[in-house]
Amino acid sequence: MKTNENKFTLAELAESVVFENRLTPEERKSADIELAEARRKNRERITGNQQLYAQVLQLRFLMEDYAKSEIFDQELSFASFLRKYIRLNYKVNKKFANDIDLKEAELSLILNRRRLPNEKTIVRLELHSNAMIPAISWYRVLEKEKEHELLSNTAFRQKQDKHVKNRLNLELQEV
Amino acid sequence: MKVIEVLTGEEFLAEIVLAELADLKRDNFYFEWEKELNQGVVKLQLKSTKEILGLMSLEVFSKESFVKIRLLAVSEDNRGRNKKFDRIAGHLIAYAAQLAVYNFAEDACLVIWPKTIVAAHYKEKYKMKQVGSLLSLEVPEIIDVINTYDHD
Repeated sequence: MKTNENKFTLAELAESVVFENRLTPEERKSADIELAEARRKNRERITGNQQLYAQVLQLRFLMEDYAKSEIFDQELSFASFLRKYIRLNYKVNKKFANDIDLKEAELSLILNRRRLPNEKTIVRLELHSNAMIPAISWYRVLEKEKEHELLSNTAFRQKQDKHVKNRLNLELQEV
Repeated sequence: MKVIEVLTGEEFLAEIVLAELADLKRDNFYFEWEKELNQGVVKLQLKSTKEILGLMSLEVFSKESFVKIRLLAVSEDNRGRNKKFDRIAGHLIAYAAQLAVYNFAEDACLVIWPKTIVAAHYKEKYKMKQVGSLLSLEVPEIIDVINTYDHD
């Protein structure tokens, strides 16, 4: 019977399986030290732009993961993600507002959850990140927030009640 | 994400989701996957038929800020020169890279401890770096791997 090594080329084998080469505790300890040192050197090597790239990518993954999840978290609002995005590269909101041609007051309303962003703002966010965070990712976070609001705002529902008449009669059993 | 049917060049939509116990009992993958149950195990499957093309188990080391691929295997039909679909291992490795960036941003690091004879392949194809007996993938190369497989 042929071994796996004989059946496949090394590249084919590498693309078929990855498995851990078992290390002794001593080897493991030495590997940990070597890895820590290599990573320290890498931290010194990467540029500010590369750091920013990784941070924006992380934010995108966090947003997309949250939008996909079935859990609603009050803390993870559109505003909170936007605040994190701004802080990655700006010290003051005013400069960011200026860069996406938004009034500072309007940005402030969005960040304080007093106003929802419109589509123009969302598309500008995509453009500002060089499409690293697509408009659809921002939109899905916003949709999740709106969905929760629609489901949980009973006061709003009660307020609309008086505006509806001639409701469908959907009784299954005749009384 | 898309995998490519080698024979026709046709692209098929695929997805990576958490594997369930039943997925780990199949015999067309190497290794005893049930032993990996306590780790995070994901499967790459075709979206249309849910056929599983690959499995991977991962471990996140939060304190040390890295992600380790413990095991990865593509299904029997997809190994070697007669494989049906291409890009399975690449997508799984890119997923592990994404998990590292998701957790650690600019400090993201993906680690594997491969057999020495296959290490050269990972260095060449995924730009992994030899660090003693292990291979690591960090910023910026880790982002290249994500971009190669993420946006297709």
